[in-house]
Amino acid sequence: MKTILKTDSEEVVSAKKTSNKSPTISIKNLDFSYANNQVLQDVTLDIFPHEVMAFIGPSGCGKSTLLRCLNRMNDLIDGARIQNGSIEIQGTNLHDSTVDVIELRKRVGMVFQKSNPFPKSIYQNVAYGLQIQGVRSKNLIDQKVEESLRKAALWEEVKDRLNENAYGLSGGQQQRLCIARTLAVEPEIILMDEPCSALDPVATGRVEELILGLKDQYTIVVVTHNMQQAGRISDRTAFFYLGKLIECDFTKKIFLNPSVKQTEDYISGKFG
Amino acid sequence: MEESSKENPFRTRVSKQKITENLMFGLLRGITFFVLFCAAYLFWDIFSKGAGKVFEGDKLINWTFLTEDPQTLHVIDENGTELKLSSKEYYSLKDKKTLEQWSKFLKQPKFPFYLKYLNQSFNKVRVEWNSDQRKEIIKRFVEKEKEAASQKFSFWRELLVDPKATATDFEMEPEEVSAMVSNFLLVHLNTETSRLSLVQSGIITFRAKHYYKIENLDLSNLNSLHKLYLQFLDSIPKTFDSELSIFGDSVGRAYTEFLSSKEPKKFGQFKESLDAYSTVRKTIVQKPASPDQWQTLQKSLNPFIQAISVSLPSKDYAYSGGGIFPAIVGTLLLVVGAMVIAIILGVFCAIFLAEYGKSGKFLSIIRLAILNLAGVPSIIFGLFGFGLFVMFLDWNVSLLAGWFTLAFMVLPVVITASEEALRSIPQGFRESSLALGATKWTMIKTSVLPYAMPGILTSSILGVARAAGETAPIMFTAAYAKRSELPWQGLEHWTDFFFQGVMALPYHIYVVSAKIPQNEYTADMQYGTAFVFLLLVLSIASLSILLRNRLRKKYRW
Repeated sequence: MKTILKTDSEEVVSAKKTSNKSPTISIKNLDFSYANNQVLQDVTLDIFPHEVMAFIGPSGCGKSTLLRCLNRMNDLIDGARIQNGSIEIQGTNLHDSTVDVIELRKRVGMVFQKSNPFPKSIYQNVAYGLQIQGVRSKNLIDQKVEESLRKAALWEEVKDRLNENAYGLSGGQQQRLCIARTLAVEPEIILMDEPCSALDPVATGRVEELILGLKDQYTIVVVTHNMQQAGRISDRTAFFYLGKLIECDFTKKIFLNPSVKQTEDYISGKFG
Repeated sequence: MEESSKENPFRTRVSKQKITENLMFGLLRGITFFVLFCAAYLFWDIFSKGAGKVFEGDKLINWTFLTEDPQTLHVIDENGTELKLSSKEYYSLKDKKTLEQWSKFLKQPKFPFYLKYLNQSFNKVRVEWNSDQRKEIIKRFVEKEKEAASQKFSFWRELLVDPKATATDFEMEPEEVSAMVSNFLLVHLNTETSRLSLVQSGIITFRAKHYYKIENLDLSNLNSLHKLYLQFLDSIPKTFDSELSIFGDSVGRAYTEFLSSKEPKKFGQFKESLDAYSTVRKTIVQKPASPDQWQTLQKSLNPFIQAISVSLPSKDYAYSGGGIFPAIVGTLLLVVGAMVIAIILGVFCAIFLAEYGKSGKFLSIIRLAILNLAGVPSIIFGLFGFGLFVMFLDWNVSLLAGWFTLAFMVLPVVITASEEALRSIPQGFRESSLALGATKWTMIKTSVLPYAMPGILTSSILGVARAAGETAPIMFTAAYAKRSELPWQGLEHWTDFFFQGVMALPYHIYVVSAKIPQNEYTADMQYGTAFVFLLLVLSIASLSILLRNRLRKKYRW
């Protein structure tokens, strides 16, 4: 289950065509609703290891909901439920009664739209995930904190003030800190819910670089409003509209030669 | 005139709107000032009248008031000059046993007062009976003074004959006493201390254990006691002469009448013995006696001095002397205990309501119930605590019962505010904590509760003031009107600590102001207590504010 396939992203792209790689996440005929409001209809989608998958679409199209389904964050919302279909991660059905949600969330990390570090020191923010899992060794935590901050390209900026409050950081740094915090618990898949929507272009650029750097080690799913961003960072893009998956294909193809008219209209700015 | 014809568009006009505007402005300002004035008056009143009790005169702080227990104030009035003694001082004065002690004492500046008072009559005499004694006394009383007394004392007889009457404590006028005394004079030998003393008919006793208890009095032995008294009188030298009588007119007359009716021959001796004391007084005050004289005097007068030493006359004002230390300690204990319980219960309820409870009808009914609970009068909480903790759980009047009663009273406030505080924590903290693999409880414990703590403490500040200030809930559950022992004294087992009643400042104010006739001494005490109480609440509240601010600084987002 835990095997992480070592392949270059280019290979994954080619591998998809041949379909001989087993998908990391496989969503089948998913119907999802909040109370009486059906949000997702019949979504079928595969996400492969070590690729960056972008979800795009107008507001309210269900892309965030789908993302939150992937680590069962929707469990927190009253009345949210899956009506039909299934989500499998590496062959296990997420909504199986035997699935440990806590374990799942450790393996499927999430970065939120609004950077939300805890009002603690930078160090404690990154160490939090390890501490709640019962890691007591100071050395191990120190090592993990450094490693995660380095991966998140934040180490050089904060190494001298690890004990200062995280809210002293700039917006972009805070978001990268949140990514570092997620990396510290060693997930295999990282879900990002509009990670750059609150950031300025410079900070956005840095986060995008980071995402591209991380894709060697992780499978990343990004929800974004910004189509240029999807174009810059993703290998494949899925376009949602009104709760339906309209089209899912290689990013280049979606942007240059979409097969569905609605996609073309959306990308060219005719609506949305 | 020219100018007025020129229209100025911005000219001040008297219009309806303008009047309303000015009226409203004046009204609002007036009401605000009135409220401010009342608040200022309240504080000024308590501070001006109460601060004097704490910061007294030449001593910077009146430690007696802050560290002693409440006592009866004995005021000895001497031609407009007052000698104020707390019970402790008063009894230590009366317990001077030997003549040496007396002689030392007599040289103290206070003593001339004392001597003078020995010459005066009782102003008021406290009376105690138990029911058997009452019957006995009234029987004799009726026998002796059938016609005159039956009219004069019909009130007493009704009271005495009624077996249900349990009141044991009356104040009598000197005339009444003298009439009673004239019928029931006897001599009482207190076997415990071997002190021979005069007790008028066993009726006149004093309240505390320092005095003679009516229970010790064997009415069947009146005759033998009387004999002892006569022996005592015989032992007194008969060489003094003076007109003075230590027991004053009314009581002295009573003795006179009694003795003349029963033992006419002895009356002169009695009178002389009384006179003896005045000579002693002269000797001591005017010229110091030689050691020989002292010895002679001691031998002859020691029992007599002891006898009269119980009758230092004073006006007594309950709760007006001493201090309020047990009440301060009790209030602190009550507040701290109640707040700990209230915060634990309240925060747990709030966590359930805010984090676990699914929004629905059931939850909104619970919320409504909690809000309504906040409006329940505190006396109802007192009765609830009395019924549940004191009676049903059989905790008696105890700290524990008081803690829980007060805690339940402040719970609604704590729950509502804690829930608010929990809800005000950004959802992002919860989500990111869960996304990092926290269980729900870990999430609450590590990334919600710590950040909600300042808010919870803010609400508890309100609770502190309320818990400290309420009288009604502790009246039946935890408060004693008077308890000299401090909570940590006299415990047989450590659990006894929780099952003892305590004094409390608000209840003390109530007792002092409501249960006894008002006078300057008790008013003094009241304001002093109120002042200390305000300071105490103020300091508890500022402590919690400090704590809250520290937490706020630590967690800021």
